[in-house]
Amino acid sequence: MKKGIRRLALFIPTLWGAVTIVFLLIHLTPGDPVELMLGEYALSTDKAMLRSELGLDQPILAQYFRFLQGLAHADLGHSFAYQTSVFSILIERFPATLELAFASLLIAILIALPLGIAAALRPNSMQDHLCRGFSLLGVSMPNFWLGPLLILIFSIGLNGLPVSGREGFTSLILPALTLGTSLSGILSRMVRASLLDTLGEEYIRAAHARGIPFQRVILKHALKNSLLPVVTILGLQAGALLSGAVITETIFSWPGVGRLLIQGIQMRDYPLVQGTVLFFSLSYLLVHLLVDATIAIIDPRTKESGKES
Amino acid sequence: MRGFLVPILLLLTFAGCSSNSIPNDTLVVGIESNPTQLDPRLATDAYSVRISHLLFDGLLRFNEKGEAIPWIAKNWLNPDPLTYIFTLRSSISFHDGTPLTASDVVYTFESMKDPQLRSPNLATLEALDSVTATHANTVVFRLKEPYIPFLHLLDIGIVPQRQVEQDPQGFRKNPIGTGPFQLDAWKVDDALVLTANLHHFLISPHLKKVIFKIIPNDTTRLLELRKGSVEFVQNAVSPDLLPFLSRSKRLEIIETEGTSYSYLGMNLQDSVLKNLQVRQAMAYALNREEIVQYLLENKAELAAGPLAPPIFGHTDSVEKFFHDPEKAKALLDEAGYEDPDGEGPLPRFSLSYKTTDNPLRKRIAEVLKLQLASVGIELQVRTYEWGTFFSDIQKGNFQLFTLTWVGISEPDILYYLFHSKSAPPQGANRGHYQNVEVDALLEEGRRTLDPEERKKIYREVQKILAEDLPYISLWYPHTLIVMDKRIRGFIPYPNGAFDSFIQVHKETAL
Amino acid sequence: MKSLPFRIAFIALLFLALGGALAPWVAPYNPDTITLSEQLSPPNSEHWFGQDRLGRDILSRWLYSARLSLSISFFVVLLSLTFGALIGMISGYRGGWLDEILMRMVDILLAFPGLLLAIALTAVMGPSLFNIIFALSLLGWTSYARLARTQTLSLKNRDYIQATQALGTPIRRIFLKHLLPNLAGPLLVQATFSLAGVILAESSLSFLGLGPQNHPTWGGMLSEGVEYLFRAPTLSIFPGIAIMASVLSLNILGDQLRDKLDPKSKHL
Repeated sequence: MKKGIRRLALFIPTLWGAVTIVFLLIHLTPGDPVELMLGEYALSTDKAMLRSELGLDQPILAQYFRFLQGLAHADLGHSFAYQTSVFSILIERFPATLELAFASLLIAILIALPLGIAAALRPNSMQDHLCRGFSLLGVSMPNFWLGPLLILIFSIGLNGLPVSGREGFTSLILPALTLGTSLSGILSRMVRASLLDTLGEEYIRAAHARGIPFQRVILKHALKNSLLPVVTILGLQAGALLSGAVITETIFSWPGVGRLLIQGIQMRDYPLVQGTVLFFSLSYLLVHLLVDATIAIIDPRTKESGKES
Repeated sequence: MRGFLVPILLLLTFAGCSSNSIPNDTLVVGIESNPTQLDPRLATDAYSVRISHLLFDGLLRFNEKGEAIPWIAKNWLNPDPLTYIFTLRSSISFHDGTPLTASDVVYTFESMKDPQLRSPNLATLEALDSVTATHANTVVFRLKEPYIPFLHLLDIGIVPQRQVEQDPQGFRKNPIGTGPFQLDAWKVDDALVLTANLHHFLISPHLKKVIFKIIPNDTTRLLELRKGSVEFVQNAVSPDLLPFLSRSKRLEIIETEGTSYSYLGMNLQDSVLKNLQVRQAMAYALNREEIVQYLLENKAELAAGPLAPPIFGHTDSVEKFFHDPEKAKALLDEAGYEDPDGEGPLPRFSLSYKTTDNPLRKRIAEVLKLQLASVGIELQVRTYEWGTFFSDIQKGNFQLFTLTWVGISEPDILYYLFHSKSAPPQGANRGHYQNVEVDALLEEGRRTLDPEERKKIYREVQKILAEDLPYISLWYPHTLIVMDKRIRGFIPYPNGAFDSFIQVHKETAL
Repeated sequence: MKSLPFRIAFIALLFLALGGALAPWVAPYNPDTITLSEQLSPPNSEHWFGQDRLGRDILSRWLYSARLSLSISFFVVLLSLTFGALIGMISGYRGGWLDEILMRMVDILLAFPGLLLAIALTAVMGPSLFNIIFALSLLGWTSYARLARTQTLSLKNRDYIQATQALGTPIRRIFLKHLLPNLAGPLLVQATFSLAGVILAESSLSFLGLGPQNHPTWGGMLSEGVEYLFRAPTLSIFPGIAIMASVLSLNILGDQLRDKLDPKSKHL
């Protein structure tokens, strides 16, 4: 409990660090948002005016404090390009990314569980090698290659699914598959490893010896106990999931937060980039907290010592 | 394990089999990026301009030949070079039913002159002195000085004063025009849905719906077309990939002359590049035919000057440069840049060349480097992400770069590009070209009423530019359209406008 | 216990690494020679892997890419391993406020979507080879730091380390003689896995146009090849296979190493 409060208290410095880094990075990046906004034919007086209106003519330190001041009032600022509050854009886009993230997790689990179990049942057999190899295939293919290949097979070849966009359930399948397979590799390895661990434990062997059918032993006892490290890994992968979303969203024209960030960087839309990164960091921290809480619930014995936050 | 995978695969194969059919009165257009502003007064990027042109009507419209057609204005008079009198049609109404009045026209132009609005047209409106509604359906424009390109500004859409002033934020998100189409939904970075305006005063579109689908990735856009879930793209498919699409029986490829102009920009203040012979040598060293043939798949025309053939005042009778490495070498020797080791690896001199990370541009850079190396000029290619690149170019921080001017419609663009007063930050004379004669001609061109006289002036300018070589002209990329064969009535515009969607219809599926 | 997959993985990696190392001698052509008239030729007797958009020999570029992709990966891992392990050991050994500060730094970087930091960094500094290595290392060191810290924490209370400490042995010596040998196994396992991760990260950067300029890498070749997925599939197949093979092999190797060096660990 105490630990939980401490964790929450550490949220703020961590977020502060993240937004400071991103503030510096984006302001140091060459490229002028005003020129990018007004385009080729703008007058220099216009540019100067817009610059002062956006506060870009002030020293960087002043801009930084203004930004922090806004944050203190939960104000992420106004996007240069979209001309609305960054917060409202994020709220609008968030569901798409969340949807994609959950679907990818689901697909990753659907792939990783059977493969991991099959591999753990006969360690170091041909079956094990095949399952591990197969689960690694997904990781080893860059998303920007796997995506178009999946479209080619399932949308064009089999003429089943939409190519891209976000319209209805079917359009979610391919991007989730692309993102999910890259996640499944690490997950299935974890399932295998922790299952092997628990299978070696006394009580499992005892249950087996008592004549309980093997399948039931696996599903009921072993799997439940090996869930813990799997959940941990899921939490750790949240960051990878969000990063992967950047490319996957671009390929599948998915209107999520990942694409927003890329566009923000391209347009030098400082408030948008800062807001998006803050948002990414916050969700990462929240997921972590959630994972830890879940673990505490699953396994009340969680040791306090030596565990990093 | 099979128990899990088989249902997934089945799901993948059969789910959504119905998503493939687009209704006959709907057109799905693939575009690369979200339009940023549909307010016609503020639209800067190409898609914003083109789409807002469907939602809003201007006093007049330009057809594909560049001829002005009366639109909101019934007719107009130009009694003297400083006065334009427009008579509006009666009973025109906005999408929300409110009638359009002369005061809306006045408001549209006056608000653009207000620097607070930050309209990209502010610079061109400098010449406008006043705009007044003298009568319920008469609007008078008075200019400060004769400015012939002025008429070209008048196809800017008219916005409803009351709605804009009452709720500027709301208008941005949900623009209300009088145009042949109205905005039904705008899912940012996803899709825009336009529906036909059944109460339009002039024309009622055949299409009930036009959907603009935003697809940022090139490969994905291509696959959408191939599948048939996108039926139309314009200049949004690399010429490289046309062979893949032409294999589809459903698709048709249309290629027309465009008005865009690709060039090699040079910094004339640079100690090497200020030498005319060096610039000429480079023009001779380039083998543009090779690039057009192999990298652009012949989907471009060699350019001799900034004005493409469809543009008023274009001329072909200027000095031209064709691939001639020997002449290039001779010119360089003459200029005092002898090759230190003949055919050996040492260059005569080295120049930095900036370009963007776009794959085609990167490939072109590789070839330019090779071609210039053959006459002993070393090119140091630097690719940048667009924002960084554009900022460097605008600041004049470059030796060499390539870019394309898009959306040229008036020869007056040359003022912006080459007049000595247009040096950054005032204009786009980024290489700091200076020629008193050109300056005078460009000023003259703005004032000359007689079209033939005006043509002569711009021809002269193009001739001088070809001699002075502030830019090395590369090519005019063609406008490339890939569309479903069932689409009828589409007319390509040199500037890429979507205006003819008003007349387009789709033939019934076979 | 040298299983068949391990042998295959080892041979594949050896083959790729040798190909890269010997690229200047074994590559049949200069990787940058442009022959426009032969663009997009399919594989033939003269160009075994075919030719790319500019008519460059794909096999030669592929070999030179092996050189660059694998070296980038190696240097990134080397840099982040050295730095991360050092920070982790100091953090774990010293504890207290220093530990707190260092671990918060790690937290901040971890709370940052990794690839995005790399994108931002390379955008700021320009996509040069050095900058890419720097950006990827900046992301990579955190996992080693955590690993090293955890291990150090559990080691430092062991009797023999307490004893050496009491004897006044300098920290440097304790680190080198006692901590590092015990850390080497888990760190090496982790390093093997991240070699694979870096290869993928570099390819993502290339896809976003932020890969190293003027030099071929597998990621760069693949992202260029994906454009021609339909017209000339060989452009993407060969670099794609190289990436897949190296990532797969490194993972198999990592698994194997872990079983051997670090049997109790569940770290990934």
